[in-house]
Amino acid sequence: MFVNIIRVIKFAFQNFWRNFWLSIVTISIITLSFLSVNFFIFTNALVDTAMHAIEQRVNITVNFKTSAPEPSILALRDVVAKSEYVDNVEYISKQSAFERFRAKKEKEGNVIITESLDQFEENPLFASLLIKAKDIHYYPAITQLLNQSQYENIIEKTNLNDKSIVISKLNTLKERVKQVGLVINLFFGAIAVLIVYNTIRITIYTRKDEIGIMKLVGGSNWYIRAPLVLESVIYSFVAIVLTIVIIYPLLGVLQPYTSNYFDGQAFDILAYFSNNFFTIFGYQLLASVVLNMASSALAIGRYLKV
Amino acid sequence: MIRFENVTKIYPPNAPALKEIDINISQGEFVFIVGQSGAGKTTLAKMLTAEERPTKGRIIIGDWDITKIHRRDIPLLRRQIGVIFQDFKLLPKKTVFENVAFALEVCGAPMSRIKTVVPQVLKIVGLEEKNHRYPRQLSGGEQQRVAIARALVHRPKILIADEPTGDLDAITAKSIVDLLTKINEFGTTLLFVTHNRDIVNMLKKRVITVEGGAIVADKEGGKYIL
Ligand SMILES: Nc1ncnc2c1ncn2[C@@H]1O[C@H](COP(=O)(O)OP(=O)(O)O)[C@@H](O)[C@H]1O
Ligand SMILES: [Mg+2]
Repeated sequence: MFVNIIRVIKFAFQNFWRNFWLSIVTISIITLSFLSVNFFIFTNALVDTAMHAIEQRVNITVNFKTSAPEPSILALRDVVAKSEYVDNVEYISKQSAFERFRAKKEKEGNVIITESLDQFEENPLFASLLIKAKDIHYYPAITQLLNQSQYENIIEKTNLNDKSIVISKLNTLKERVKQVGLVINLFFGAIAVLIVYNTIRITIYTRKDEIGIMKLVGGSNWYIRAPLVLESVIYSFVAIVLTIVIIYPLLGVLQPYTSNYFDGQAFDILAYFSNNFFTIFGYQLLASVVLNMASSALAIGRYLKV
Repeated sequence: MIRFENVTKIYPPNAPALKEIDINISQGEFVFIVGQSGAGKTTLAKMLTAEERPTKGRIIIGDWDITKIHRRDIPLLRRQIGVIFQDFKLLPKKTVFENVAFALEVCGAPMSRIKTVVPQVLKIVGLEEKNHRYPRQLSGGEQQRVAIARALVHRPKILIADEPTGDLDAITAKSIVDLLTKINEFGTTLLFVTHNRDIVNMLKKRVITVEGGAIVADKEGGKYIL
């Protein structure tokens, strides 16, 4: 058995070297389709991160009437904080709102405003709650909670800072990326299958004397077929290695841009590919191996007469 | 050993090559199959190795009815039948040794068996000194000897030689015939397809004459009569 496997591998590599340039072309095409798949994965990850970053910025601010007593506000805060929809609530008292505002203006060097602020006898700013939901879809439910009549007399204004236009645009973009990606990947996949089919056909043709002799002397079908199938599998393996060798330097170049692009949201594209290395490349290899085995089997069935 | 029962072969769509052939060959026999080009001799030989299947009739080898042999059993059949041809069918990029070894390799033989069997068969054909040469470095007769060595690696019970001397001069042809005779004397049934009158007349073996796909003569100690 062991000697059989060694021989099949030997024959497969002989096939590989004998049509060296054809092998190179075949591998290039498969590599190209891998690259297209990975470009799609890259783009998808980028759009996902952008959406996530935007979603992070969605929140509800609740401004309270200046007359609202602080204990009622804190009571409401506790109710909200207990809601299953809410990730966190931040209470900004009148005093801290004032200080923040002042500090901000001071930093900007806006002397007129800071000076005029000092003229006020009473703090003119609202106390407020800043609410973040666990998921973007929970905001309507939280709004409903706040709109209950019992809070009418303390709440001045509820403001959902929803960014829904940006998000829906990103969603459309994501769908578009998916569609275009699918079409392009299918296109490259189909070309890869065709070229593998053709390569195996040519291998059969260039080895027809040898295959004829194998049959003549009673060679096992295994020895005739397995090297051809293995040859197609070798193409996938070489192509995936090439793809990885091409992609990583590219990711290294792009990585600073992607990590700066989303402020606050650190996105490390290199880490993304590294963390999902086996999923990303493993599935691509698996898919390619299955496709190549199928197309070489097809070519064998069609061109290898017993 | 070999039995053709009422065998007819029609190549599709409608090219009859053999018509209702009956042949019985015993183990260890030496049989000439003679006839003009296109008579159907090669077709006859191909049906023994299941390269072609009879349109009608039955073919039995030993007690194995190979008429409707399953595809996966064909390699087993071919390991029991050695075949040589006019054009040798050697691989030009392999040495003498590798050409012979190849036949064992592709049947899954272990290396140890290859190392013992190949020198043995090369010795039988008298080429043990030239096992590192490539086919192009050999004469026609020597190339045919390599092919014979390859045909012998599985110790076949039957050897089919389809015009093995067609490309060789008379003296070389004679030496090949001598070699085949020797192999036959060791017990291998030999089917010798030829249209070389001198060889047939010299050996005085059984001669089956084929004409237009039919057997017109089958004589022990026969002569080339066409
Ligand atoms: N594969 C084939 N398809 C169709 N006709 C064939 C084929 N092989 C041989 N024939 C025909 O069958 C007849 C016998 O051929 P063959 O057995 O090769 O004769 P021989 O070996 O005696 O010269 C010839 O008429 C030949 O043209
Ligand atoms: Mg012929």
